Amino acid sequence: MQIWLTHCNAWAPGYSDVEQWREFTVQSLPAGDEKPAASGVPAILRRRLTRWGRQAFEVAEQFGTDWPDSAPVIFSSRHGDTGRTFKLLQSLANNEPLSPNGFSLSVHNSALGLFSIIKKLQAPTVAMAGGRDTLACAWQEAVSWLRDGAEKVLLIHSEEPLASLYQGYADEREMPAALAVVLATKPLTGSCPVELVCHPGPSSMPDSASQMVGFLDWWFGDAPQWQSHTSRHVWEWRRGSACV
Amino acid sequence: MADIDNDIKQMIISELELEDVEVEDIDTQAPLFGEGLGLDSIDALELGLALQKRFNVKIDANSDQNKEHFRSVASLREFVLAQTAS
Repeated sequence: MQIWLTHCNAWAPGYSDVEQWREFTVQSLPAGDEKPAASGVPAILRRRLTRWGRQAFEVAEQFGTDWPDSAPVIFSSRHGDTGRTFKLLQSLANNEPLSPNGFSLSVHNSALGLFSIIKKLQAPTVAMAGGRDTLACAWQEAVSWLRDGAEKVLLIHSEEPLASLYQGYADEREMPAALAVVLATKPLTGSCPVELVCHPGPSSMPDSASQMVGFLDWWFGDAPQWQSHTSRHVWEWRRGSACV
Repeated sequence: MADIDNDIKQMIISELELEDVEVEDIDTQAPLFGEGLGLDSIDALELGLALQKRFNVKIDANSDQNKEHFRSVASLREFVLAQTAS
């Protein structure tokens, strides 16, 4: 079954349009406190979102209008919003009451839940994490839905580096960024045929940067294929030259 | 009284992370919930917590009067003053 990537939006501090992403490389990752505007979110709700949620809205915004009930929405993030979780744990440790807002948004699907509420989505949604293989797992989930008859799937992936106390446990280079991809069984103008293959066995040399970082570098570059090495698998993304 | 009003307004802005809202934008007499600032039930819980921290007041979660206390900045001020006086 041929699968087409019809849209790919990405945001990171200093990177929002395609021209900027073309300059991006895994060698120099953006950092800093810059947040996206996320202007599609009503201000009364936006104030509750950390950057982790705001950037997800920023990249997914355009797909929220007229999204069909039959097209699943998949959200993925390796660590979730650890800055928020850490604050809650800190309050607990200090015997302080928990922030009701912080608590209500501390689950992995909080950004996805708000997105579906604001956009009045009735499509199936799922939020997932899969270690270093998170983006590939979410992609596989999307492909599974397409093979099962869905016409298109929206995949939203958001990453925020681990909260500072946990930084010592980081096993890959991370950056704040979000990515929204629409995969479909029929091409639209500007679509590219794409394929993700999982090669058996763990790689002896896992990539130094997160899978999302590597994907963004590859997708906005020119190479027809890219291998992502994690400690579990070798994933290979390919795109056809016959983009329409 | 104006000082307490401003303290409460500042607390609302910072605790609820209101974007692009200044102390001057909040009408002391205007409703905080539903209309006016348009706050919701999670904000009410968050505000209750902040009032306890900032003014050391006790809020009875089951009190029917909470709705009245939380109506506006002015009613919150009266509530804080009554609590701190007792």
